[in-house]
Amino acid sequence: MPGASGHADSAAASPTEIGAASLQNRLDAAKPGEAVTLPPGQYAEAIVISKRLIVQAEGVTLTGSGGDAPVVKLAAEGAELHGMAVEKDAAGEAPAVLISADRVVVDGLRIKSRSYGIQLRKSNGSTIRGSVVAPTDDLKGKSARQTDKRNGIDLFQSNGNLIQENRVTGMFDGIYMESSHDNAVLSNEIDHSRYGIHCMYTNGTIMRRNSGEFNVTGIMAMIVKGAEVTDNVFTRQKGSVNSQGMLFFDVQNTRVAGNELTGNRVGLYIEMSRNNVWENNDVSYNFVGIQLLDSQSNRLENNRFVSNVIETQADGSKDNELLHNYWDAFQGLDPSGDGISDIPYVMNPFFQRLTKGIPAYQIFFQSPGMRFLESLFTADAKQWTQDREPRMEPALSSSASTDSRPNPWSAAETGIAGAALLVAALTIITLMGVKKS
Amino acid sequence: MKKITLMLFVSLFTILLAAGCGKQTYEPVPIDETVDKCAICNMQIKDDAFATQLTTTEGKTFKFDDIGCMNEWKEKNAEAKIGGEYVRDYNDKEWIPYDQAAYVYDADFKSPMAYGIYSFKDKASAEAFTKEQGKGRLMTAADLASHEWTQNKAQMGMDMGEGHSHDEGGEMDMGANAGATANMGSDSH
Repeated sequence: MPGASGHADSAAASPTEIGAASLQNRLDAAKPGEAVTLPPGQYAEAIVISKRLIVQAEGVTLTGSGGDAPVVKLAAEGAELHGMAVEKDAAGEAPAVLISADRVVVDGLRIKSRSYGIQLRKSNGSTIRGSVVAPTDDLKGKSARQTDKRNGIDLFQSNGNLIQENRVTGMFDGIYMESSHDNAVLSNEIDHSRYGIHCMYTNGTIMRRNSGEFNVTGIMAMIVKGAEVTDNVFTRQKGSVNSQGMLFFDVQNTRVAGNELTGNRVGLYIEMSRNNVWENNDVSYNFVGIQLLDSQSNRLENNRFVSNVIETQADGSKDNELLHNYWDAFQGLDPSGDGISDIPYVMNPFFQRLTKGIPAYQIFFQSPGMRFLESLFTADAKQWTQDREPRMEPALSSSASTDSRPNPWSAAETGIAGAALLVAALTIITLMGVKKS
Repeated sequence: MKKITLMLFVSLFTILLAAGCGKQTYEPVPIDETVDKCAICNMQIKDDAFATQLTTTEGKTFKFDDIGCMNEWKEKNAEAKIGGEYVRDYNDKEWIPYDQAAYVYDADFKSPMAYGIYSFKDKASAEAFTKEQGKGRLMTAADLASHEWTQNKAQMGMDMGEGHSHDEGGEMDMGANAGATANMGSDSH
């Protein structure tokens, strides 16, 4: 990966043999601050925008000059590129579009790349809007190995950028931010990628109203501080055994609110995180609702946990405040009628501890013996994570449209599956019978 | 009769020997991208040159997406007896025993968890890489034991970029090296 930006210059800098008609020549002829409209058509060339131009490129398809080099380089402050289709068929580490200057605007790009889509390197205050990033056709679909894929929109040491209303499909990580701060990621859609939005060593990232499905994980926040994660929707992420709605690893001072995590393997996975707030999130129809490991001083309030196979797995976590969440598997008791159960909801870590050491013990999930053992080891129950005041009914949803969204595991499907099982059982009983000898 | 007895003994001995030997070696296992995740940071493991793995004498294999995560695991599980430990050659992804590999470190090198350490099967290819990149410090497995990550690892998360006002130098270190970052974080306040 080193040298990703190193050998970028060679291919793009020298105008190709196309001569006067080449797009690069047109750009070279324009004066800074000018608006340039490129003639529609397909061009096998790479361009560099090295002065402040506003380039209108609707109907222009650029396929690069071959080799692992950026097809488009935006290297001047304030340069803009609109509407271009960019195709990079060469594998490697160079992106289709490289942004290396501040306050660049790219809008409405359609990118197909065998490597990265859009890369920002030390670019601050830039805008990436309304663009689509997809891999080349042969890298689409499940057969493609992850190793062959690259990130859709990839930020490194780039701060204060706006990434809005883009769509990334079938890439490695949809939007990847490393050592980049105060970026706003708003209303993007990511699907069939590894991680939807992946933060590594970032501060002050805002992730709002993004949505995704069929990724391995929706939002992957690792070593993150002061982020805001609100009103995102991540559903149906269960293709991988390790998929989660959102994963938080070593996250601090972050607010996670109003998100919808439905039909994932694990809804919320939280590890080694401190001083965060999770509130008003909908965590439903996941295999595991929430996993809370080795985390302290977090507050989880007014979240709704509905129809998860396992609601919680918590261990090694203390001083977390869980309040007023709704756990639909929990049978509370509310003599005072204030809608809050007087019995706390306590999370037994026994199964979590057992399976952490030897994962194969998961086969004893919900077995009668496991229940019995769980009830034996309650000596340190005071240390367990618990919701002191669980709700009897789910709190009113802050996000409006939760009901309109189709339930991924609809009642009809469950009914049909049940009926099929019954028929199968009956058939076997009738056919095999019980032989009396 | 004697011959047969002898044969039996010899073959039994061989089998025992083979079985005994089998227990002593801990071979690297392939990475399966669909199921393998890092035992420390939970990220999916890419089948690339940064993947590492170790097998305990109990026969349990742990895989990692970055050599830094393996280091953290070893710190967290100091009591664990490790039978085999493998890293990969940067160029051909061949598994190499941890203590025989040559390492190159630079804060600017990118790796999955940003520890910035690349591994090579021999010193020559490691040197060639540093020449090509124009940077990178050559290290051995012994050097890694005294690498900064050891003392600063625990602070990685806590001091990672205190506040929001980082100068560029700070960010650079932050991305590439936990150790340097921890220092940056505490310096900046």
